Amino acid sequence: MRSNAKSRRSSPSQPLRTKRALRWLLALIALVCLGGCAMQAVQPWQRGRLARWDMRWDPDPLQAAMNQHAYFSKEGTSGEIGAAGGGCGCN
Amino acid sequence: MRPSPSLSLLIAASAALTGTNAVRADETASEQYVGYRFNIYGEDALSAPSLGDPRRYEVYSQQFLLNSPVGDRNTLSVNATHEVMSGSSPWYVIPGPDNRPIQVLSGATIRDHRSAATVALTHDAGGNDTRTFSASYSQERDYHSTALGAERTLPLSSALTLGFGGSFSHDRIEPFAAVLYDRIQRAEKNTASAFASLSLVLDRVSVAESGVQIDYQSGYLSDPYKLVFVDGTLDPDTRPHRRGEIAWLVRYRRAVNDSAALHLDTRLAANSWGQHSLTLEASWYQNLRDGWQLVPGVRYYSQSRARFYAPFFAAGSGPDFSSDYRLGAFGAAAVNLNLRKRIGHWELSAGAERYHASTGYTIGGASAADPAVVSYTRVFAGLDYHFD
Amino acid sequence: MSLRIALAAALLAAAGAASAVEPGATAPDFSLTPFAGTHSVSLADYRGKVVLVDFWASWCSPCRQSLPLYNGLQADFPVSEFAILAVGLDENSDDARAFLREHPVKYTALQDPRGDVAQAFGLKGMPSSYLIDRAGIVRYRHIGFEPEDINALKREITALIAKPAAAH
Repeated sequence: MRSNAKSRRSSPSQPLRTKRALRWLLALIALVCLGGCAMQAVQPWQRGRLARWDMRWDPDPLQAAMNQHAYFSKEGTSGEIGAAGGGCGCN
Repeated sequence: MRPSPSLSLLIAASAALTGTNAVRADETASEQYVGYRFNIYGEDALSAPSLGDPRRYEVYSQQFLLNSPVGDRNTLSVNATHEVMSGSSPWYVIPGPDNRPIQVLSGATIRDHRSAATVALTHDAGGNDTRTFSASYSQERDYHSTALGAERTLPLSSALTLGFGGSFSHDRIEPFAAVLYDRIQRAEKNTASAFASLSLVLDRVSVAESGVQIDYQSGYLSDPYKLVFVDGTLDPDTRPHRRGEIAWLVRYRRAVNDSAALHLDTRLAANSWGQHSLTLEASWYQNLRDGWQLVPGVRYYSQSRARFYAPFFAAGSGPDFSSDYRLGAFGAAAVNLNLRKRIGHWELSAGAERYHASTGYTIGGASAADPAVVSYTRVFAGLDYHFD
Repeated sequence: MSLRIALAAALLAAAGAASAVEPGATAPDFSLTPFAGTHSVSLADYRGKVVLVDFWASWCSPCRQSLPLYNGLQADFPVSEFAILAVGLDENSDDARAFLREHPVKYTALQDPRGDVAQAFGLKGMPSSYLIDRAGIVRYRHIGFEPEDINALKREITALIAKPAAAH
């Protein structure tokens, strides 16, 4: 414990970063638990809002395709959920 | 594609668990509509010193989409795209005074065209066990791409849906003026992709999805038109013949009262060329009165540089080297706005996006080796007709 | 502490989901306000008739097909023998009213904005329909809707009407 505290004093940035990362991890676990553990089942008749057009993953597939095409041609990494289409000479 | 025994068991178990309960009435594919979009893309002048023809790169795109139910519980989707591209593009980079990079631009290319089509057939659209098969073809004067894809979604419980799929594409490159410029005359590359995702109904107003996408490319992955400056001589852009990439994606949708929805998307990606990237996207769908809808959005992207990227190289470098700015470190911030109006069966839309790239936006900060990056502005307009 | 509460809530939710009304069971009685009119309607009022209880909502896309097709189904049988009770599950009844203006029905449409009746029936999907015999016993259940489902319904209704009230 004591030696740990000493080393912390000698190089303050590394353990601080670890601590911060740990805090983020805990927050993430808490978030997942809020979503998964304590989730109340949503009944079939309670899904009216989830069925809305603006709640889809891609409400406008044409717009989404054009956006992805623009980003794909400019950036070094790409990828989205779903089967990819064909390539182009743009990248 | 025959599912494995354990997968069949899982499917049977999930069917028993849920009956025929669609996890989410996501009826995207079962509608009948046609859509048309016009998109103008224009790049800014380069953000760094450059030489050569400074004609800015422009693309005019048109998209057409037909989505229609066919036969017994199938939906057909046909998507056609035509693009006209013109302007000059980055060619190679030379060291200037104090070794500061100077981007040399290619002479303005004559107008080039791209035509592409995708046909997709979805079985049991809007139902429980959805299967989609797709085929795509894209053609340019010097580039041909053929792709096949398959994906499936099935519910694991009343709140959880599994999605998985894969695709394969074969691309052929035949650069023009190959002999004149000593370019490769013909080359090919293959891309295989697989993905799996889980989507979860969190509560009555929100859903989340987490997925992993893996891509593997092999073949000629260089850019035949680009050169690199290696100790005073110009050599062709040379990249490894293989590239693996993995991306982790998380998407979140939340209905905020009855008139708005929040969309959040994130992506973390890394590839075998040493690049990793972060993407964050947020949009707000605001429904207004009389069929109007306003959709503002923001996007942030940051990538690190590939192992073999540098603006220019010293003697003895290689075997791989590239000065393509897309392999360098940079960040980009974008804002976009879309306005829609529904009039009976018709839906009009118009919008714009401003994409600003800068080496200063990179996570971890900028360095002297950073490339000259490209920013752009897009404007788009469209018209959709819904049959019911 | 909160984790234990969460676990208990999850268990309760799981237990609640198990009580679905299956064929052979007595249909739970209910009393709801119709969209047209003010006097509430009970399932018990229809004892002695064959009843189709159908659960729908404006956001349910198969319901765009099923509700109009049920007009024809009602017309195929005498009202003294067969009735349709369409239970609307929209939380916002304005959405349901707009849907009914677009797809007018010639049978009784009822409002269940809190989903109490859907809960009592233990609905497994949208839409869901239950065919109830003259004695109030559920004889047939269907989840989802395809236009050809009407034929199976017609056969079941014909068979149930042919049976005398005592034979259950």
